[in-house]
Parts: sequence; structure tokens; C-alpha cells
Amino acid sequence: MVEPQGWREWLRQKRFEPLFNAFVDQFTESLYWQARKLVTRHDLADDVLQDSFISAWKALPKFKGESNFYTWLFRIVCNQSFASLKKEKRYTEIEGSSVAALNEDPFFNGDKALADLHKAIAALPVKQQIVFKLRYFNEMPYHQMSKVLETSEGALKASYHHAKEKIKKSFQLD
Amino acid sequence: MINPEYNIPEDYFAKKKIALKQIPHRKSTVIKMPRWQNSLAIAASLSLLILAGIYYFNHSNPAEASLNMVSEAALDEFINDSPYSAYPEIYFFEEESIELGDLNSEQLFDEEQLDYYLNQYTNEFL
Repeated sequence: MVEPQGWREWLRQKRFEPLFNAFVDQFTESLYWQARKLVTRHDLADDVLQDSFISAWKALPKFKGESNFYTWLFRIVCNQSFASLKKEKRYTEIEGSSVAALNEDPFFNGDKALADLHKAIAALPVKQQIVFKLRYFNEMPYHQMSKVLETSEGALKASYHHAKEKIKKSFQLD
Repeated sequence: MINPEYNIPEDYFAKKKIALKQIPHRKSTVIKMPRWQNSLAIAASLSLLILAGIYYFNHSNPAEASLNMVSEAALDEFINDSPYSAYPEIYFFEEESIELGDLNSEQLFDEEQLDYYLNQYTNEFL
């Protein structure tokens, strides 16, 4: 993602509102799809997007600009997706209806195989879900994932390997 | 790459961008001072109020005011009075004491009187 010129200057001048509006114009679609790949359902992705931009607005005065803006926003989206998945997992453990909700989602056109894959992924620990989805659906390189999740590449590779093995097992049992 | 299995509502992004741009104008998302600065401001205000209260109380108390008016005159009178008149019993000795003789004489002390005195009051110093 190429940052438009002048954003750093706006940040330095504390012109937060025009900077924020520029983020909305430039990054909304991309961040939505990133969130959607992580949380799968449209309603969850919509909530994650809203909460991410609210967090970004509140944190903007403290942002020092060490990373580029998109990486910073993407990290916020990952954190919000993580929180959303944790809440959904708790809901699933009580109500057991997460996959049923996906099947009833009017914005999900996947076939049964894809729905089964999402069911298997949803059974993983939340952090493993994030790692697996970023690698499998987003095809994110490990060195980039390491910067976003602030976890070592080795730990991420191990996490992805364990996730893959668990998903394979769940398909074999089925 | 957008996954083909994911759909979105019509005009979703156009409407969403309009909604997101309202975030800076919402009351709940107004950028506030850090909490510690808020606490500092409140603590400073309270301290000033307390100090003002103490100052006001000290300088407007009627009892204190009357004492302040009387004290100088009363103080002068007290100082000028002989301490004997205030507390006479403290300064009125009835104890025996050694009478010192003529300091120019060869014998400075009456040894007999000295012996008697020491025998009487030695216990005080033990």
C-alpha cells in the first residue's frame, strides 16, 4: 500500500480529522476484506471494521509513525478480529450455533466443503485461527505476519503446522 | 484477492465510508486528555479549594478575631508583671541553704555547716 504524500505532515501538524478521513477513503475496502477473511461472516466483519476505525481514531494522537499507516491499521483489525472470534467462540461453546449462523448468512455463498473447513477452523484456539487464516486465506508471508502479530516466525510456523494437523484430523474423523 | 464465496450488501462501501467519517464527531469518541492528566487537574483544584477554606477559616473566625484584638494589650500587661506575683509559691523557698561566709577570708567555707548540709541532702545526688 503506497501512502499518499502529506499524511506524515498532517500527523506532525496534529491534523487528525483530515488524516482519518483519508484513511477511510483509502483503506476501508481493503481492511474490510482482511477482517472478513478472519471472521468469515459479514455482520462480524462489519462490526470489526467499525470498532477498528473507532480504536484508530482514539489512538491516532499517540501514533508515533514507526510503521506505515496501513500496517498500523491492519494490526488494529487483527486485534479486533481476535476479540470478535473470542466472543464468538464463547457464544459457540454456550449456544453451539456458530456454523449454523454461517450457513444462514445471506452473504456467504460457499459450498458444504468450505462450510466444513470453517467449522474445523472455528474449533481451533482463537490465536491459531488467526494464524491459519492469515496464512491460508490471505497468503501472508511469515515475516510480515510476525510484524503484524508481534510473534516470532518460528512460533507462527509451529502454530500453523498444529492448526493444519488438527483440521486434517477433524476431516478424517468426519 | 476477494474470496468468491463472500458477498456484501449493495452499496455497502459507499454507505460505510459516510458512517465511518462520523466517528470523529461522536461524543463518545472525542479525543480526551489522558486519565492521569484529568486526575492531576482534579487533585490540583481540590487542593486549592481546601487551602482557600483553611485560610478563610483562620482569618474569619470570631473567637480568633477577638483574641487577636486583645492579645497585644494583655501580652504587655503579662510581661510587665513580676513573675512572683503570678506564681508566688514557686519562687518562695523555705529550704535551708548554706550561707557562704566572707569570700575574702582564708577559710571560704564553714566546714561544719558544709558537713551538716551534705549529710542532709546527699541522697538527692545518689
